[in-house]
Amino acid sequence: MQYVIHTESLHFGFRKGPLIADGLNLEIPEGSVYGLLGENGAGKSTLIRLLLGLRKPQSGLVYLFGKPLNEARPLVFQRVGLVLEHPRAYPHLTVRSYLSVMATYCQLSAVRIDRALQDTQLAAVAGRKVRQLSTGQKQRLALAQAMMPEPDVYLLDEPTNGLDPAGIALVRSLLRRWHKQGKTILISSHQLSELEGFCTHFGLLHQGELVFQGSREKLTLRKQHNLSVSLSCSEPVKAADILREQFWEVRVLPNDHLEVQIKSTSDSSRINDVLRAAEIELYEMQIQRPRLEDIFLSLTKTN
Amino acid sequence: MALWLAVLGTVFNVFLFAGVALVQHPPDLNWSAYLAIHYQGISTMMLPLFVIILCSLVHDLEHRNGHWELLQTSPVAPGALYLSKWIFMLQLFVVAHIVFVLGLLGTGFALGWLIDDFIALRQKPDWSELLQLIGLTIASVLGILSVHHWLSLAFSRFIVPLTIGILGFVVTLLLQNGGWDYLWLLPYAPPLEYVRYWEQLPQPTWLGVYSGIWVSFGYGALALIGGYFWFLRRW
Repeated sequence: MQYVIHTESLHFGFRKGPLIADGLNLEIPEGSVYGLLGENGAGKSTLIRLLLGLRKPQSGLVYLFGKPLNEARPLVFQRVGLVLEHPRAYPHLTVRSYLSVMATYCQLSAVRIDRALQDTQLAAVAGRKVRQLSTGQKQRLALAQAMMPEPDVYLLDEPTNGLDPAGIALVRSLLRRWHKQGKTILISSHQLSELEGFCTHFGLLHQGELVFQGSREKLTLRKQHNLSVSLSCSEPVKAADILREQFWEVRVLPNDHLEVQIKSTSDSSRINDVLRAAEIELYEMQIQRPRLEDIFLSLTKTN
Repeated sequence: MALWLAVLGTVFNVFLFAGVALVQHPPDLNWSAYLAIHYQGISTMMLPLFVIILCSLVHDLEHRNGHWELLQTSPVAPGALYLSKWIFMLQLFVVAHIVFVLGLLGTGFALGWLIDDFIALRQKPDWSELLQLIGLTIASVLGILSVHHWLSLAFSRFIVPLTIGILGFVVTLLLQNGGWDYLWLLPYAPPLEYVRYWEQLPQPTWLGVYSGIWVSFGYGALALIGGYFWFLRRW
């Protein structure tokens, strides 16, 4: 598999802080939307900085487009669109003049500036000073700057921070478009539900390790292993005893519902049969698939 | 802000020293004396501090906005980034100095035509003397410019290079007043010293040019190269 970004045994830790990368082997396939997940302070932003050479690893290597970062930079950055966690821009410049300055660095034409302003819905405030923009508008300006060179890979660190629902929808539509165009996207977030919908790959960062890394399919398989059903019935305590006798793991919830761990969806019909045979009336039964948060929590707990 | 400092600070200087000429009202004020008032004024009072503040302000813009990270991830070579900052600051200084020269010429001619005592200012100035002064002024600050380019890169807090610069400047002034023989060896000395030929004081020279100017070139080159290697550590 061709990786646009990958690391080899990357090691980095702050002297008096947390370990960010402990022999990390990050692998971001070409054309993927890679969700880098982790709790606050897990080191997602630092890891992105390591990938860009803004921080030096204590050991290990970073590769961009198959080349070691030190050899590939700075020209490789022509192919990288970047949104860092806190948007940065010259506050005294107007939106358009700021983008013009940044376009000069990449030798881009004015057409790209207009297109980026349109795509990020900033055209109406193009003449406004950066310092006068709202947090959400600054975030969109960072996106406009990142997309101007039409890069092959996007590195987006918490790109929806400070955005209103319309802004979040805009980011999602941009991500979908870039993905359709075959661009590779690395997006970090601590809001796991935000990414679940459109990431093709995931990496769960916890205490310097990727406790999970792989495709959505691989994650779905893990989800299958963690299925459960939630049911309500006429005699919950009796039902729990009967199901335990059948070697199911059962938990009685405070609202008298039962949560039963199952191995596959076919188990739900067996539960139905067992309860009917015991003359227990079943009111409701629902298969619970674990959310990304649940998987993340279970993985970090075991690690 | 650096641009405003360059333009407004310079206009202020021009009117300040034109005012000094008016107040002093020397008899037989000619262009050479008028230039002396201005250049001695800026060299002892303004020039080193102006360059120190200019460097700090230009770099503070990048530090304050965390913009170095974006520059480091742009497809521009570090050498080009490093040198372009230095050239930008030199450009600002040159622009400010051109404004200063135009201002002193304008106020000089105005005083000549408005005040009969200053009739000598209605004549043309000695252009070669003026050009020599412009060249010496720019050459004299190259050392400070490079040293503070490096310092302002190294310290993200605006106040640190500014304090070092002010301390350096004050110490140099004290040593100048104490008549220290090796003053010309200090980076802050050339702008303070190069205009002293009006006072007919003996100055160390090399190849007919005040030695401090060569020292300024030396500091300028060394700090520019040293600063570049320091800058490369980020990459």
